[in-house]
Order: sequence, then structure tokens, then C-alpha cells
Amino acid sequence: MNDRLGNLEEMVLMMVILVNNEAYGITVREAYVKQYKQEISLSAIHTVLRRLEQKGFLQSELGGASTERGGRRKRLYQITPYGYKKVSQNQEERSRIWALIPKLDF
Amino acid sequence: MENHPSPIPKWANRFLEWYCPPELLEEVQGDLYESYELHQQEVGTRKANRRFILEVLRFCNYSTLKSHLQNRRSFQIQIDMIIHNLRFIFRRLAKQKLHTSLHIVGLSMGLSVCLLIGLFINNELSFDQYHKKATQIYRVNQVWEDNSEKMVGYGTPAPVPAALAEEIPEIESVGIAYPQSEKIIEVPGKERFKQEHILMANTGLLQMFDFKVIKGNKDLALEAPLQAILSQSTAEKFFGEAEPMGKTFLYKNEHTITVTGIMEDQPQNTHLPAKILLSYFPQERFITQNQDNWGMTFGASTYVLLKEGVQAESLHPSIRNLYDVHINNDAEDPEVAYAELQALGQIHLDPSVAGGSRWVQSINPVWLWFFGGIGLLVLILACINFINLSTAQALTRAKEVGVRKAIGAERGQLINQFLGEAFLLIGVSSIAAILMAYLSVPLVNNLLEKGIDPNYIYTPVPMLSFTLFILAVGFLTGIYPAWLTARFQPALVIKSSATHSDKPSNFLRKALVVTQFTISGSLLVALLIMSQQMNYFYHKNLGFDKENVITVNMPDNSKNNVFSTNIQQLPQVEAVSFAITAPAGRGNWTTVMHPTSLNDPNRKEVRIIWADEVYDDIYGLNLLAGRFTTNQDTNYVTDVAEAETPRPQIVVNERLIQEMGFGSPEEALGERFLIGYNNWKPEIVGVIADFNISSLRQAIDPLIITPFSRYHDQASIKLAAGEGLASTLKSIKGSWEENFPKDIYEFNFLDKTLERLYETESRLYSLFKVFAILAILISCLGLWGLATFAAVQRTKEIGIRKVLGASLSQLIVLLSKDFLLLVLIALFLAVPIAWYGMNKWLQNFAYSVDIEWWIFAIAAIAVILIAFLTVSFQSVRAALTNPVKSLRSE
Repeated sequence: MNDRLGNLEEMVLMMVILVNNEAYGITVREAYVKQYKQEISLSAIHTVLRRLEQKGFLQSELGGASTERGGRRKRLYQITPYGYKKVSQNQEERSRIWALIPKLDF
Repeated sequence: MENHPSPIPKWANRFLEWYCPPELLEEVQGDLYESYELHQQEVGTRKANRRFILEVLRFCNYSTLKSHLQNRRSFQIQIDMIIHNLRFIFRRLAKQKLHTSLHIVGLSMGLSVCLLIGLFINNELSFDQYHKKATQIYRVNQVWEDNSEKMVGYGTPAPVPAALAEEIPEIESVGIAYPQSEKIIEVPGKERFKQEHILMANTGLLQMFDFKVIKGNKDLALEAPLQAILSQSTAEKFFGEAEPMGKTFLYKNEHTITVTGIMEDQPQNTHLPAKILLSYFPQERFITQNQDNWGMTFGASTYVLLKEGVQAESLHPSIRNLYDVHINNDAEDPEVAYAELQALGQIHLDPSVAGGSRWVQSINPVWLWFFGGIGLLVLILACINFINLSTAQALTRAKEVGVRKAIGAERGQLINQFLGEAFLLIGVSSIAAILMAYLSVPLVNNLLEKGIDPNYIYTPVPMLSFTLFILAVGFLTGIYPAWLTARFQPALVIKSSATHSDKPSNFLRKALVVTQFTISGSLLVALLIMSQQMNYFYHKNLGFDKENVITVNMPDNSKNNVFSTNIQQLPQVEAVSFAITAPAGRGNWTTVMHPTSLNDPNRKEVRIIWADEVYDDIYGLNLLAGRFTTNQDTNYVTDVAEAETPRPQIVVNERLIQEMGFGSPEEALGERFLIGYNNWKPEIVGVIADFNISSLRQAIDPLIITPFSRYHDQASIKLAAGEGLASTLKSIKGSWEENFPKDIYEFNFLDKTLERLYETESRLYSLFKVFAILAILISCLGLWGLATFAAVQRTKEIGIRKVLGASLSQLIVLLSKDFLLLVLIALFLAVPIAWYGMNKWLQNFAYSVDIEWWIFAIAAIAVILIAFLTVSFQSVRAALTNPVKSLRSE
């Protein structure tokens, strides 16, 4: 299976970690909009979340039923150890490369 | 799932539930609901609704649908099935070449006829609709009402436009349009020529209609006298590549007109296809003569632009008021005048207003219905073919259905398969139909003198409506055969090898064949009767000689005598007569007559022909009593005639004597009565036999003939038949041009002029002819297909009969009699239908042929013969087959 973590995927993945326990479509979108200051559609969030789960970076389960949202259950996402490792590797990689880049003074 | 936030757009929600895979639906819908509620609080219900719809649509993406595609194994199978079915259909169609081509030929003919007729009707309905303010524009139609007899015309008296503009506040602006007949134009440095479609117009008209002025000032171009706006093509014709603005040309040999504007050529669907817009100028004869005359119309029409929301009918009383004040002030006179507003879009669809308009003959909507009906009938014929051939073939497919069902096909799947087959055929046919229609538009244009643009087919609106139409047709024709074919019981079919009888569809097939031939039979009868009537138009004895007479207009009738003396020296010129018109020409005058008082409500209409003394000789008019008027009588009738002395003398026709109750022609001699012009009281000096003074659509009216040299504007020249005609005509032309060096010579043979009276009928007849023949052809195609099929099915039976000693003729009778019986039944139905319809049609004409029994006989024999030939072609072939061949294989 493809283990590449795309840019949008990484952005969404970090939001899932950020929201932590209550990560599902709506909350992830909210966090995304708040942190990155750009709009994104709900369907895009869903698409990315499903893809991340398929790649093994996330795992999910259906939450308990409630009277809110028409009684529909939420699909709650959680980071997997593999996912966490991947995203932190990415960060380290980036810091390492950043350190190599000469600091330019503009 | 009833539980959702309340004002949510239900259809979007339902759409989501439909497309979203069930395993994803709960979470997706939940998130959407939650997001909806958030939005609702933030930005309100309306915006939240819109966002919800948007989000639902966005969710309909590959990622969501993917699980559908992957999780359902059946999907791949479905694709395989479709491919399999398509392959199967193609193989089958390729194998059954005859049936396939019958289907496609028949359907594509039917569809292209429909498409063409649709284009034609659409074009007629689109007249004048392209103006932006079309719904607010009305034409002012002048009405003369005499003893509750209503005469409507589109010319208005000269003072009307100004009066309307001043007195009626609901009118936003008033336009004047005065279409001219062909006029002589001289462009500097070029030969003189006659120019048609010159429209004298004012600025109001220019601004009311969508004349697209591309050069010049729309507000000023027509403000001053002697200015003109040319259409682009006219400007090119006049001045070539040179800049036309500011150039001049000579109009009617006397007025110099300056070009002050250029407009785009107008579309063809307008009743005022002006090539030149000419400003009003006072030198125009009629305008100056009639400036304040409320009692005289001279050809100028008035158009009004109503303010938005004003109902046209609501203005009629105030318009009537205007007329009452100015013209209906003679209490004695039973004639009243008023005006009605006619919507712009209606002008082209109402020939009852003096033919509709000066330049473009309006079309009676009845014709549109008629042709729409024909188009539908032809299509129905084609669809019947399709149904009949398919249901007939259904039997042969029983095995296929049986096997398919045995290996698990559901009935719905089979119906889909057969429907798919139908749609494929109809789809191919409709592509062929579009091509055929596209190619035949120029022919239709030619036939009807229309300007339908064939490329219009390829614009979205007709394409979309045609596609919808095709889908409907495909479904309606395909569903029954599909249902029927898919109905077979596998056990029954596979067990018995014999094709079992199929009663209901057999009956339907017969009924449809009867329908088809009823339609084609009626159309054939209609065609025959129409052709008889057309023939009658051209060849009926009109009561005067029309052969070898040419008519020439005289621009200045003071030169009549010189011209006459000149050409009478030519060897082939037998006689020359001067009059206002030829008999049955346009332009004779109409007035009223009465024995005692012209204001009597019982007064009657009478026509007048002003003619010299040889008029009766040239046209061979039949004098019943008395004498024809002589040129000496001329002096008695001038337009300022004193009523009594000297006494005007006239010749009248029989009809007038009957209307006035003067008894026999001899008794009428010497009688006197009142006539509308200047209150004459002329004396009858001669009576002539009736002849047709207008087209055969109208009955013969009472008629007066008397000399009045002032209006003898047309020369009728009787020529001797034989060789040298061309040189005689040339000499006449030379003599005419000597007399009128500044005018352009034109002549017409009278019989050709008379034929042109029936142009409309003749055009529609040719169109009808094409469609009727196509209809019959399509019916025959169907019959042929059925006969072929029957012959193939009965191959073995025929073989056995032959072996047992049946003769060829017996076999042909056996195979043909069923079909011929159906055709006979159809003919019995067709006769009354055709008789009724054609009787109605012939009632449009005062003079028409009688519907005679032998027409039906001819039509019946023709139909039977055609049907027999169609059927026997197959039966003979089947009967001739060597029985060894047909019986060998089992």
C-alpha cells in the first residue's frame, strides 16, 4: 500500500491529532479553518479522512448515538502509532533540511 | 429516515440518500445535518439551505461513490451485461439486414418529416418575436363597418398617428410605416433599376422595432426629409465597397435621397423586411393629398408602443372616440370607422386583415395545424411499422427469450434489452433524420419561399427538444414490443418447437395496418382532389380570354394614344386596350350602389373597372344586351361629374342585374341607379355575361365597366400566336421605352399573372404532395416487411402445398388475401374521412370542383394495386421457391 503522506493529507492528519478525542468531519473542518485560515468543504475532509484511514495513518469507530444531528452517529477518528510516527518523521525531516539551508537575510 | 433538521431542502436530502452508499450514509448525513444547523444559526435558513445543497452535490464524488463500485460485485457484471447486450443487438441487427434497414429507413423518413415540419412551424410562429419590445407593440388596424359587415385593413388615415400620440396617454410612442411598391432608383454612375422593399418610416418606428443601426444617429437619421437608412447588403449593392454614408441616389427619377445611416440586414422572420428606410417627405403625393383626411387610407400603417402593463383592449373605447369625433359624424351614413389594435406577434398569423401585410403574406394558423397533423401522421405511420415488424418478429425470438429466462434472466432485464434495441434503432434513425432534414431545408425554403436557416437545427433548443421527442417516441414505440417479447414462458417455448399463435398482438398488428392504410388512403384521396382543384384554378373558363394577352403599365397615360398607334403597326399585335386593370386583376375599385339612396342600409357593394371601348373585344366578353360603352362616353364621367347632365353610361354584369332586381338583361337597359362615387346616377346601356373578376376563392360580385381615361393606367395587348413573338415583344419594349425613357419596362402574360393568384395554394400543395407520397411509401415499407415475414414463416406450409399440387396463383392468393382484406377495410374507413376533410377544404373556395365518386375509385384502385404489388412481390418469391429446398431442412 501507498505510504506517501500528501500535503493536504498531512494538514488534515495534524488537525486530527490536535482535536484529539472528538475528531470527526465537522470538528476537523473547524480546526482546519481556524488553524490554516482557509476554507475547505466537508466532502474534501471526508475524502481525506477515508484515504488516511485506508493508508493506515488513522483508525476510526462509530461513536454513540445521540439526539443531536438527527440521531446519526459520528465516525470518530484517532491517530495510529504508525500515523504518528509518519507525521513526526516528516517534521524531523523538515527541521533537518531547514537547518541545512543557509539563513538568508532579506 | 424522518429525523432531520426541519426546513432542510428535502429533494437534496433524498438525492443524498439515493446516491450515498449505505455504509457511509450515516456519518455523512450526520455531519451534513450538524453543519446545516451551525450554518442556520450563523447565516440564516436561506443561506444554510443553499450551502446544504452545495455540500450534498460536493459529496457526490468519486471517493463517496467508490464503495458502490467496489463493494457491489454486480456492478462489473452489469457492465459486462451491457457490453454483451450491445454486442448481441449489433449481431442481430446485422444478421437481419432487411428488417434493420426497413426500421431505419422508415423511422428516419418519419422523423425527418417531423423535424422539417417542426422547423417550418417554429419559423412561422417566430415572426416578429425578436423585437425586444415585441409584447408591447401593436399595429393599428382600420375597421370600416357597414351594416354590420366588417372590413379590416392595415392602412390608417394620415391624421391618425398624430392624434393617437396626442390624445391617448397610455401610448408611449407612435411609429408610421408606409411600404412602397417597387420604385425606380438611380445610383450615380449606374444603370437605373427597380428596388423593392422600400419602407417610408418615421423615427418612432425606427426606435420601436429592433432595427440595428450600425452607422449614423438613430435619433436623427430619419428626422429630416429625403434621408434614408440602407441595410448593409443594399448599401453594398448601391455603392459597392465605398463608404455609403453621405452618398446620394435618385428616387423615382425626381428626389435626391441622402444616406444617413446603415443598419444590419433584418432577419427573415419579419413582416416588414425593409431594405431601405426612407424618411417621410412632403413631396410624397398621397401624404400631401390626404394630410387631414380621416376618410381615406393610402397604405401607411400605424404602430404603437404601449406603456408597460397596458391592455390593448382597454384602449379601444378611447380610439373609437377619436374616430367618432373626426369621421363618424354623419348620422345618415350607416358606415362607421374605428380602429383595433393587433398584437405584433399576431400579424403574421392572421390573413383575415387584408392578407396580413403588404410585403409578406400571412399564414392561416389552420395550415400550421394541418402540417403539424401531417407530420404527426407520418411519424405515427413510421412508428406503426416499427411496432408491427417488432411484434411480428417477437415470435422468432421466443427461443432466445426462453433460453435467457432459463439461465436466470429477469423479465425486467429482458424488457430493458429489447427497449435498448429499439432505442439504438431510433437513435441511428434520428441521426439520419437530422442529416436528411438539414439537407432538405433548402428544398423546403425553395418550395415555400421561406428563409429557414438549416443551421438552426444545431442550436441547443431544437436539439434538446428533438432529443426529448426522440426519447418519448422511442419509449412509446419500444415498450409494447419489448413487453410482448419478454413475456414468453420458457417452458412452453422450449418444449414445443412450433411457434405458437399470438392472438392479441396479431389483432393489434391488423388494427395498425388498417390504421396505416386508412391514413394513407385518405391522404391519397386528398392529394387527388387537391390536384383537381389546382388544375381547376388554372384551367377553368373564367368568362374571358386570357391567352396571348400581355399587360404593360403606363407610367403616364396621356401617352396612351401615341403608344397604341405605334405598336398597332407591329404585325403580331392584334389589338390594344387601356384600362385600370385586366379582368381578375388586383386594383379594381369597390364602392356601393342602391336604386334610391346611398345611405340606405340595404345598399350593396359593387366593383368598377375603368376601361376603354375595345376592352370587351380583347377579352372576348360576352355581350348579352345593348352595346358596350364607347370612348365618346368618356366625357360624361369625370371625377367632378355633375350628377345629371350629361348622363353617364355604363355596362354592367348579370350579377348586378340580379342584385338590383332589374329582371332580364333586356329589361335592364335604360335603368338608372345610384353609385357611391360623386353620387352618379348612370344609365345601363349594355349587359355582359358574368366573368370572374377576382380569384376563384371569391364569388363574382356586381360589376360596372365604363371609360374613365384618367385611370387607364394599364395597356392590354392582344398578340397573334405564332413565330416572331420574341421580336414583337422586343419592338413593343422599344416603343414603350421611347415614350417613357426614364422608366423601366416590365410586361406580364395575363395567364401567368392569373396563376400567381394561387401561389399560396400551389406552394402548400407541392409540400403536401411530398409528405403524402412519403406517408404512402412508409406504409408500403411496413406492409412489405410484414409480407416478407409472413412468407418466411410459412415457407414449409407453402412447400407442402406445392408438393400436394397447389398452383402458383392459388399460393399468391393465399399469401396476399389477408393483407388485401385489411387494405380494403382501411379504404372503407378512408372514404368518409377524406370526403369530410376535403369537403371542408373546398368550402374555402367560391368555385371548386365537385367531389366525384370516381376519385375515390381511382384512389382505391391505386392503393389496392400498390398494396398488392408490395405483398405479391414477396408471395411470388415464396411461391416460386422449390419445395425441395424449403422442406429439406428440419
